[in-house]
Amino acid sequence: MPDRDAEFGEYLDSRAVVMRRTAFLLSGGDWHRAEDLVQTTLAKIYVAWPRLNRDGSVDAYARKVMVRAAIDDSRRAFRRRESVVESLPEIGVAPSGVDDAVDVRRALARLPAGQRAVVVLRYWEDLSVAETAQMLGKSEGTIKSQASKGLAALRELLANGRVLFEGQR
Amino acid sequence: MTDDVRDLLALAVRDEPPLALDRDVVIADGRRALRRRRTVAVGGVAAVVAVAVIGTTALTGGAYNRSDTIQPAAPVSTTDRPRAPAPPTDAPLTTTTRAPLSSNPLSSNPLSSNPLPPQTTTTKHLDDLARIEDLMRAGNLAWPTGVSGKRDGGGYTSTTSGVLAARLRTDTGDRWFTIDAYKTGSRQSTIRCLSAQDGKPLPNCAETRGPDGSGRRVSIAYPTQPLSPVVVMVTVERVDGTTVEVLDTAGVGPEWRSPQALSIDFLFAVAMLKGLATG
Repeated sequence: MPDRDAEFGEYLDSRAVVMRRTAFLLSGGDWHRAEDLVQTTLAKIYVAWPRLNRDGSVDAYARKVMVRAAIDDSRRAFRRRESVVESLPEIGVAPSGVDDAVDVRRALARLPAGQRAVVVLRYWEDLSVAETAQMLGKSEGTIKSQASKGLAALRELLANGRVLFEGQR
Repeated sequence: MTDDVRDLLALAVRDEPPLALDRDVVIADGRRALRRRRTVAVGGVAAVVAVAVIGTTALTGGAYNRSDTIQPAAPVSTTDRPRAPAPPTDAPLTTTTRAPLSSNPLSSNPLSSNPLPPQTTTTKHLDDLARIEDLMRAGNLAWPTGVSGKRDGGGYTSTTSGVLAARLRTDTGDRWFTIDAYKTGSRQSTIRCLSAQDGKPLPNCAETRGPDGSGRRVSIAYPTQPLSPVVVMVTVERVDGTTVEVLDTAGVGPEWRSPQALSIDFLFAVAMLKGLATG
């Protein structure tokens, strides 16, 4: 157990920040949820640590757990009732206008969870279409289609963002 | 195009707040999950063996103690499950596969012997709350003023469901309260205030010794983000060979209370409850 703790602790220290960024994007721009996702993921990694460490598959497993947890999370009714857009307490909105980062977060938050996961895995985690398909348990055709739709939706949301988002408030 | 999208996503993670993950808490979560998994595995094997034995007996016509009269089965109802009685002072808290806990026949207590406690349901929460309050009652301990067990809307999803986990209500929000008891030495102890990785002293951590000679440790993790909870963890290595970890923590959100709800003295008093002895 001490070996496991030491090795796992080293992994946690080196990867937690990076994992949280991915979790943040997967969760649609909520740092609190991102941290919850990372904690959930890390606890599962700890359980399977000897095998994952031996196989060199820790990062892949972490991505898989995190993506599934994020999608499950977004499917829960109580999450759907919440407005992710309005739960960004640490950012706020500048009175003079909408910050670019906030625009992107809000656009991400408006993507369906599955589509968002494809965009994050393909363009943030740099996974190939085949790797993304394997991770999400979908066909390569579906991944290509969702990536394309996701990017198109992001572009549209960002292009019309200020009017769209400000119109929501 | 990939780079463009990546730049766009990088923009979204700009201005990230400091990481508030506590390594010790994550490792403690992982250990609990590991214990649950091992307990489930042993429970599953036991169930398979039981089914095999019962099936074999049935198929062979009940070679032993065969009765010609078929007795009606007892009704199966969760409401028939007896509530935990006020626990005797030496009743073990839970079953675990890591170390023999007790040969005490009282381990048949339904709450302590259930190998598959649901981990994320209201039932689990209420059972745990009842068990905790039974233990406290036996030790003449009551919730401090302003704190009570939450009996409505107590269901939860949490990675930190400990051996016993209950949601507490206070005037300013809810808190999580968990108790984890295990035989000293059955797993790595967290009694020292030293980092498991580099051996350096941990911040906001103190080691003391109780009047009876028990080893005591208190660790407080202060939040680095708004709304995140203060996490207080007390560990006692008791002279009876039991180590108890008690946690006062919370979820994140408006319904939760960030500051600790229970005093360090109270947490130590819980950790010293005789009913938590592992035998």
